[in-house]
Amino acid sequence: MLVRRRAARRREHVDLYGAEGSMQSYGEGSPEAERLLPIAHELLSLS
Amino acid sequence: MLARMDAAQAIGDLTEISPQVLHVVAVGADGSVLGSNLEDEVAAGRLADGAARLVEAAEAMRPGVQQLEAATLDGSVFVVLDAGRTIAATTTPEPTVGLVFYDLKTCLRSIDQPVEPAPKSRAPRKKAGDPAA
Repeated sequence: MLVRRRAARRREHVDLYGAEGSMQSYGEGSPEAERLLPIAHELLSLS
Repeated sequence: MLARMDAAQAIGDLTEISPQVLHVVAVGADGSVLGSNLEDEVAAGRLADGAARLVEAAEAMRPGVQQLEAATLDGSVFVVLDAGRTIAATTTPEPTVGLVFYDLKTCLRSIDQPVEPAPKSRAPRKKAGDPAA
């Protein structure tokens, strides 16, 4: 169970927060995450 | 006269207290780079541009987004918007999300924040019976 939890936590995802404190999470494979994650990968490769 | 905190100093303080944070760029309301810890100006500009693209894509999905985290297995990208300005940072994998958001907001707000200069030392009060008074 611990391994499964850890694996779930390590999945790529995007979390969006509104001004009122609400949060929406989009997991790897969702259309929303697929739009943002490539940009994140690009930025993480900056040296 | 009021002094203003230097962006480079604020970012230096941020990376010192938050070792999870790797690269940072602060962007003004006009889109200009206020400061970054990336030595290469082109790289700083790319981080600023990427942050703008993340916000634009996020806005299309969720209008009114104020902050975001894009988490990958290689690390995360955080973007925080505040009063028209933006701060973006890359971090090590599995960062402490709440702490990073807090530190980024604090950093962004400290840039341009008027800082009162240290009060000048007053001359010692003269004693009532002092003949020089």
